[in-house]
Amino acid sequence: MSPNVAAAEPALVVERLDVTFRDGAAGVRAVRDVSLAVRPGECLAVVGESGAGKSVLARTLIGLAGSGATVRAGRLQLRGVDLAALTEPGWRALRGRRIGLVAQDASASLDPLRTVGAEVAEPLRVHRIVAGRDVRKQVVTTLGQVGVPEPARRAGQYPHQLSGGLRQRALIASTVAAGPDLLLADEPTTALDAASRKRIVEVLRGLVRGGVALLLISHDLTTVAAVADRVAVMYEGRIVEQGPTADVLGRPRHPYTCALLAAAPSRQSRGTKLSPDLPRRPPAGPDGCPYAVRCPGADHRCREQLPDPGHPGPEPGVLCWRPGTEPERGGSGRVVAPLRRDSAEVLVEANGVTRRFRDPDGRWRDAVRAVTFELRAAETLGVIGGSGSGKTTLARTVLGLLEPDEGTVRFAGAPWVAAGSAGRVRERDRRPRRHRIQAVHQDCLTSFDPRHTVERIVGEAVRDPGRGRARRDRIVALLDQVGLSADLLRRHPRELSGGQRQRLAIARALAPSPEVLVCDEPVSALDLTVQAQILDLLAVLRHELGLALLFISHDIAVIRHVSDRVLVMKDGWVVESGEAEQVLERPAHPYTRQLLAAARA
Amino acid sequence: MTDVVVASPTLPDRSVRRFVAGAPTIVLTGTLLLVVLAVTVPGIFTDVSPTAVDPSAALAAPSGAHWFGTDQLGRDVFTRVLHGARGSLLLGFGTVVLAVWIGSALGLAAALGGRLVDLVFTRVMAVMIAIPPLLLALLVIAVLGPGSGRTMIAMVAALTPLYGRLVRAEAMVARRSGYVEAARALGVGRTAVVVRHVLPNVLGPTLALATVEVGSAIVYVAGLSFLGLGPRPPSPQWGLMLAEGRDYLRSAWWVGVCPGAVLALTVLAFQAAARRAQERLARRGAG
Amino acid sequence: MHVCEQAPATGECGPAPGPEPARRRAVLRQLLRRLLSGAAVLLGAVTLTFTALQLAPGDPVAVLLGPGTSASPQVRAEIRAEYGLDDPAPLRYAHYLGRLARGDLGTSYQLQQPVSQLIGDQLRPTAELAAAALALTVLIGVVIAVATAGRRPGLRAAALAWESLALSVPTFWLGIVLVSVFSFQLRILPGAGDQGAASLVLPSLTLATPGAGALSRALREGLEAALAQPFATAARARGLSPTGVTMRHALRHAAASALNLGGWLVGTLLAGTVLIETVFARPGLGSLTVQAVTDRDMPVVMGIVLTSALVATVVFTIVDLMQRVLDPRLRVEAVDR
Repeated sequence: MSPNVAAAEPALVVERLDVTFRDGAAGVRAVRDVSLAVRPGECLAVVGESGAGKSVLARTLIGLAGSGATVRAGRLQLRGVDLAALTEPGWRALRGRRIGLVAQDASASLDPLRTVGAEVAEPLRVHRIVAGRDVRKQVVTTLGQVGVPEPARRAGQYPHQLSGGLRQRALIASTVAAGPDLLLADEPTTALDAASRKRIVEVLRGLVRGGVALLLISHDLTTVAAVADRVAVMYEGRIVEQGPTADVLGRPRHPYTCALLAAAPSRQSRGTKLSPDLPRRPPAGPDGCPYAVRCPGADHRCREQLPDPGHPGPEPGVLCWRPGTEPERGGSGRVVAPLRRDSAEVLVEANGVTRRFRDPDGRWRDAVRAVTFELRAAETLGVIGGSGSGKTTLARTVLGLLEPDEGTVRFAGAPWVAAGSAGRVRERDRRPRRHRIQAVHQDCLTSFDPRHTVERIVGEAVRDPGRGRARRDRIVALLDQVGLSADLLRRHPRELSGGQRQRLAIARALAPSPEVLVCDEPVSALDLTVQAQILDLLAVLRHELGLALLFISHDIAVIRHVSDRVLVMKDGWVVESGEAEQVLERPAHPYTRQLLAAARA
Repeated sequence: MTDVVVASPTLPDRSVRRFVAGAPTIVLTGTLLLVVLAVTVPGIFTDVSPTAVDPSAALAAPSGAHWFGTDQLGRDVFTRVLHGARGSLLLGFGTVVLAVWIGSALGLAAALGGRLVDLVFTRVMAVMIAIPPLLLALLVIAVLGPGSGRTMIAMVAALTPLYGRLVRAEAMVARRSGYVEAARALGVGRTAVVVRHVLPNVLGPTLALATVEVGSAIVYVAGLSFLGLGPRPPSPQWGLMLAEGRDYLRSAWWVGVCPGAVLALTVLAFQAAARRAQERLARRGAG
Repeated sequence: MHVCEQAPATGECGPAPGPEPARRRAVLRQLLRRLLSGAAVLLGAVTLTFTALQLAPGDPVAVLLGPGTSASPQVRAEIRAEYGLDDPAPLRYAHYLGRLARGDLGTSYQLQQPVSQLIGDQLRPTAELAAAALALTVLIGVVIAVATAGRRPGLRAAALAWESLALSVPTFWLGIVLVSVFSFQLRILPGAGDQGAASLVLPSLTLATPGAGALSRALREGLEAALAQPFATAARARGLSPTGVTMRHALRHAAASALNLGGWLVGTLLAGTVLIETVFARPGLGSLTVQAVTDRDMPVVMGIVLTSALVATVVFTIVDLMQRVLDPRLRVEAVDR
């Protein structure tokens, strides 16, 4: 942030904002007592886990909190316009013109039946920014500004014809076309791979340099660090800490911020625990600190009262009586003793595996090309690559759910799957060995039968479960192993939280006592804090049970945290493989270097 | 500081809304109960015979003695409607039960059989769908001739494609679902996968459709007998009563209108029940 | 350590854009496939009706001669020969196909006239009725759906109630009620016959009701689903009014899904004329059908079933192609990312 920006009048001022949703008799306070300001040419990032109220905040600031929401604020101003006094037509005049919203999930936020150009033109036409005949020219210019190559041709294409990164840029173009003062960006980089993310970061930076006030909502700390001037940390609807990016991310003061930052896997985190211990603590009173239940430093005062202007806390900008409390991580924080032996038995051996698919246009495409690798007992092999690099096809082949077109996979020394030419293995011969290799998926909800309870789901996976009491005890023990309570036995998977579902998927995978676990993006859909818990759980299980892991992810930090060895995939090829340290510290292939550079962005 | 309330919608009192929403349900549930009662024991509502002719009271308007009036032969329309319920409903139910069974069997065979079975099935279904159900039923009747049993065969032929297609589609979705793949990865056998995962997930939507279709089947049967191509007299049929009523519309509207109103209410009741079932299914499916 | 040499190094672009002729060929191929599958359906319908004819019990000669007529075995044999009744089934099937290909649907047993001529004579009143009903269906369905989608709960409940009623009230009863009220009580509209536009009002309204209910339900649900999508929120965030979002975005989505009803709708309208023409004592294909089924005049029944299948197949094909126009995701194209 340059000095002249600091002096400028804020574009957006929010003071004591409360948003309440009617839910039954009681209201749910999604945003509580939030105060913030963003200046022109400045980026304020709001971070926090899902359900913290970040998205509600963004929608409130553009007047789209929904009909069930009650919004109260001491002050709500955009460049001198009193937003709190606006009627719906007044809001409409501002939306798209003075305030832009880059909604979450670009693939769903662009109308699939209209061209990208029509979407970008919409704010221009609605607000009559330029004359009708100049709209097209302006659309092409805007698309070019956000870094869409060949903007004139892209403007005539439909969203499904663009890659995820281009779609996100087109969505940004549609929100900035009319030149708004304030841009609200809700998780603009979350669904993207590292390379696309880097480009979006550049686009956002460019917009801020151009004088836009940017409120960036994200749980991706890499993006936040790269774009934001200041950071506000939200927890349960409140801003618990606010300050310059370097301070908040470098020297966090609120215990929640400390835990959040510690949860991010990093270069140094390998072999250590990411999530704090969570001993049971008494819950806080209605006016107490919401984080007290999880906070190791919480005392009586924390549970009764929060700092407020009348009783300020010890540090300005930090909503805490005892700032600087570090999360507890049992013992030394180390969990994984090196287990790997080079002499260990080779469990999975893939040899020249190729698998083709037919595209909708009738052309054949190789999803996986001549992939060869081996996975030894008790080691973790990380597979990294961008979207569409063939990682999932490889996982399904290794699981014996997909037959390759060429090549073979051997499991524990015997043929497991093979192409027709290499002597097919029948499912009947695979079935007795299936329990030895199990899977955990990214979208685990779809992998549970919606009609089954937790008990049935785990029960189905247990071999020789016995009956009645014995069966129940076995299932409860499995749930306990992954940190799920026996209270959940009768629940259906859709009633569980994202983290609980992933734990359930792991419990099911462990039930038949496997030797190999294939994890396909097991933490990609999760919050940073939950991701940390799941990664820790996998590390502990691996250590205790001596599991071999084939761990697939697009996130280099996660792969670095878990892997002993690494495969780098691109367009179905394995472009580089080797010891994790060597590949990730001294990459040989240009694509690996590119991935690493993008992750550091 | 004064707080500004930006938006605070007012909602009507919940209990009032619930009552208003509940009223149609109560009426329709009542109708369903009455109709079922009429099917099982028509005698408890009326002690008049449905075939008792009384020329002196021909075409009498609705009154305390004859709730729905009398027809051209002086027969009590209300009594005839009650006695007609049995034939109409049993035919409707029977048709749907048979069509569900046959359709499900074919649809499952197509989804789980092989590519060839599926190809034949989809081609045949495409042909049957191209001919509207009523015409298909008429074609069968033209071949077999009218009559109770034959009407049922015609109706089953007309409605089976509906279930066949639905069951095939649902079974395909289940077969390709993540949970079936998960079961395969656990080493669960083919038969066990079908019994444990595919069938239960296909059952819900099929039963919901079947409930709507009981109503439609009753209308089709009534329509056929209205055309004089359904079950033959003397069994009192709602459709036949409507057809007779059509001839006396100018002087006695009740002969045709009253049986039709009961028919319409019955169908509506089945529709409402089906909608309930579908909403429950949707809630279960939602994440 | 292993580094793959044959793999492409960098670059974000995937395969190069496909050449235009390739795309045109793909479009043509898809169109051809669609037409072929339509033809297959028609052939299936022909086979189905032929099988029905074979299954029909009774002696076609007796039907041809009419009830109560006695004829010598010699006359019977002549008739059998004339109609080719003694040929083996595959040969008769081949002959049947051949005659159909020339537009010859056979001769009515009862009326002794070519079936195609009978159908042609009765086509006009039925086509008028079906066209009027189709127009009413679309008008009523669209207006109700657009007026009630995503609006206040009371309005939605009313729309839901009307849809349920429209879908479950038997048309032949609705016709009787309308005739009773408008023709016999109020005496403002004719309740029977085929004399001019006035006589079309009640039958077409009756015939349109169930379809209008189904269409308004499908459209309303489609609109509400589209309005709940993130792109609707994004459009509001660009300053569009709720009505603007409905007209510019949601309606197209709803239309794409409601189009699925098109084939069903036309079939229902056609079959519905069977009942409606009886209720309103109108001439037309429907009355012809009832007469033919009653008399078990198979060539006429088969002719009508085939005509209806032809119309339905044409409509299905048009709907399919229109869906591609509405939804770009269904179009064939070279991958271009």
